[in-house]
Amino acid sequence: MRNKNNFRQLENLKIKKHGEAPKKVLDNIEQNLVFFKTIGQTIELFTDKFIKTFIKMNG
Amino acid sequence: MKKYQNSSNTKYFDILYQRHSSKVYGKCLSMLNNETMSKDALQDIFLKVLLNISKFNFKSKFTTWVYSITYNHCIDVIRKEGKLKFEKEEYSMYSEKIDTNDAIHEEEELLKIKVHNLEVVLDSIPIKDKAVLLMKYQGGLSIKEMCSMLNKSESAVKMGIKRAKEKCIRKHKELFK
Repeated sequence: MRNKNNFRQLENLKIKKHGEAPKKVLDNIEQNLVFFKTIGQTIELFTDKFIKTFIKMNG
Repeated sequence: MKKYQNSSNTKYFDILYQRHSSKVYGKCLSMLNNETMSKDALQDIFLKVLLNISKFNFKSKFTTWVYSITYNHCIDVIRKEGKLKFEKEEYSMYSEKIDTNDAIHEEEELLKIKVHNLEVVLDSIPIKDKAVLLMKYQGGLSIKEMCSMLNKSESAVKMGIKRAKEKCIRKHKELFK
């Protein structure tokens, strides 16, 4: 395949027309990452507490 | 990539984003033809990359892996919009053989189409044909990668590409010659 074929030129043309990829998207991704981490930690904490309570109740 | 996989430090993910976001965005624009949808898709794709990065096994190039997520995501978006129907039989019914000389000739003809004309032609062929052509010629995905992405056999994918090339060339002749 040619290095700069017409399909890849088309991609560049589209970027030229519509502008570069937004930089702020990354902030949202990081916010999502924080959200997922928080959810993950909450689940972990809950599971831990649940197991401890379960062991206590069942001796 | 390895640094991010090992440390999960967002600084390295920032670098990955800066390196690849422009190409991914361009691919989204080519597939979706809509700026707002492409921006949303870009965010969703990088979120998928972020959540699945531990599954990346270095068997393919990182860019190829990201591009296959990109095309898959765009196909899903288009499918949800109701514009795309991947009929099962379309990829599995072909039993005829592909003539290698014809394929080379068609490829040459396809790659000669002027970029502005190509834009018009790609918008006038069915979206599934546009998708396979973009995967192959813009994303640089191999037949094997396309097989696993589309969940089709090698011969079905090759025939899908051949059909798409034929439609593209025919449309180009109709519109510009």
